[in-house]
Amino acid sequence: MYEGIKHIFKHTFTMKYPYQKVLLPKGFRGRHLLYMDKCTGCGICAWICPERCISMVPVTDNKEYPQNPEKRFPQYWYARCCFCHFCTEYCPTGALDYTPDYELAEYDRELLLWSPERLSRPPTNIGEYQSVFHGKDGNQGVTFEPVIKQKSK
Amino acid sequence: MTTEPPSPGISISKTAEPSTLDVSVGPQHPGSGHCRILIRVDGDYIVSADPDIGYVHRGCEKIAEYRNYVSNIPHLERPNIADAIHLNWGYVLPIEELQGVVVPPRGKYISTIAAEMNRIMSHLYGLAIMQGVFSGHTTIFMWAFGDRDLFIELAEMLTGARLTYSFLVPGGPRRDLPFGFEDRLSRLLDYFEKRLVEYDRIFFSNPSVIARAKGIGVLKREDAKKLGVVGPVLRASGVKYDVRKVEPYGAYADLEFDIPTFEEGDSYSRYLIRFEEMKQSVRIIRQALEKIPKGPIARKAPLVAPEGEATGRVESSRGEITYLVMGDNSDKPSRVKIMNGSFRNLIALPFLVRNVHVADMPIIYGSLDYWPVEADR
Repeated sequence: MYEGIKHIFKHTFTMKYPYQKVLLPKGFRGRHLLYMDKCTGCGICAWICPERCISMVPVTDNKEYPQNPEKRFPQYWYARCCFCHFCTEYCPTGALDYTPDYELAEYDRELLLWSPERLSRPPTNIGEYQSVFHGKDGNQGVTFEPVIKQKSK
Repeated sequence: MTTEPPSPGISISKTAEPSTLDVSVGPQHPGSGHCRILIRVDGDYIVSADPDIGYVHRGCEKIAEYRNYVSNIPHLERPNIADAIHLNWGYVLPIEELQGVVVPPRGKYISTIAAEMNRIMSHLYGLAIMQGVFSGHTTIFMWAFGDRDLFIELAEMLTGARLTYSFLVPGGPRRDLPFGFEDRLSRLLDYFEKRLVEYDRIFFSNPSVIARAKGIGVLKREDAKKLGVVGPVLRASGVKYDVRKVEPYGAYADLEFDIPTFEEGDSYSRYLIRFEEMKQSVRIIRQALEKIPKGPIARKAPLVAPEGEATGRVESSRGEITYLVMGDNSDKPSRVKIMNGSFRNLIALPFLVRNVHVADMPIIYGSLDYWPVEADR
């Protein structure tokens, strides 16, 4: 009885999802971010991938990549990815990073194939986010400044 | 001798006495998950039971021979997502033994904290669904699941994922404790200890729960030893056996904790043993947070393991898990063998449900805390 009355005065725990979002911790393992100026195309990410969702593909753009003359970059097939992020941690040059993006649903199955160019786009879901892996010493990678403060009201 | 495949649904047995019926419980039964239990009933009493497992067999052991050592981690922890760290740790220990890698003390402490958090989460899941819902108790379902989410949030902070952590790799854990983690965890443990008192009041001291679970499905000490059950089921029958004490791994050798045992061996004592274990887990985490040393968290382990075989044993929340890993100088294991608690504890089910009411079967099944996917591998 006392427990029941107590619950009337408690606030609700549910969220109106598309409008309110959960505050993600630092280092959340969302989709990957590729730094194309760092990737050497060695293929260790494709070797370590448990689901074999990474394939190394050549890129046809006008830019020059001095560290990667063959222009081979990882391409992710997100229908298979299990977000273990071993690719990020075993990358010898730090060319991959975590992002807080988790809304990856698509209407078309082929859109789940993320090309290197699409992977190198900055994340959209930047709330309270900071890279834990590459942001430590400041030189490697980009540390995202918090843009939107997502708090449940 | 050829045996006919068991028919689905209810059927009159041709071989047994004419008063008995064969009833198939599952695999779509709300409680049993991906497991079918064929029971033979005489009136309201169960004459015999035969668990029919294998609906979610995915050949983890065979897949492991085609992936390299690190790539195996995500799919070897998938069989039991509620207890991912223990399945992961049991696989990593023999590889470290093969490679001769010694994890630094801080890494061992972080692994221990993560594993004990996972034990609490897994026991809360069991308390909510396997014990709460099966005894028709909705309040404990909501409470335990709500509190489990607080631990999940902290695990997400530590590992980056809510359930599928893939946190331990050969050499140590993947990440250090994040900023503010110790403070949040100790505050959560303060809150959780208060909640444990309330759990006791609303569930374990509840007359309706005691009436349903006490004296049902008694597994005696000698029978438990003979059947080879492990983990909480064994300890509820009065055998003081815990891998964390017998063969300490991680930081358990430095930490003080008790192994709770009960003499009765009935369903109620199997409920209580998990409750007591959660209290011990809180104690372990508090000590580990105090004693955690400074220094590196992991050593760099090679991606190749030499020829040889090694076993690793961990005490998961459903019992002892044993992994055998055989290496052959390559980046892939030549054999991985898994023995886990769910599979060993299910052996006790046919013995426990004999001569009980049909309505008591969910209670006994829930008290074993059986996870079908883990047993099928």
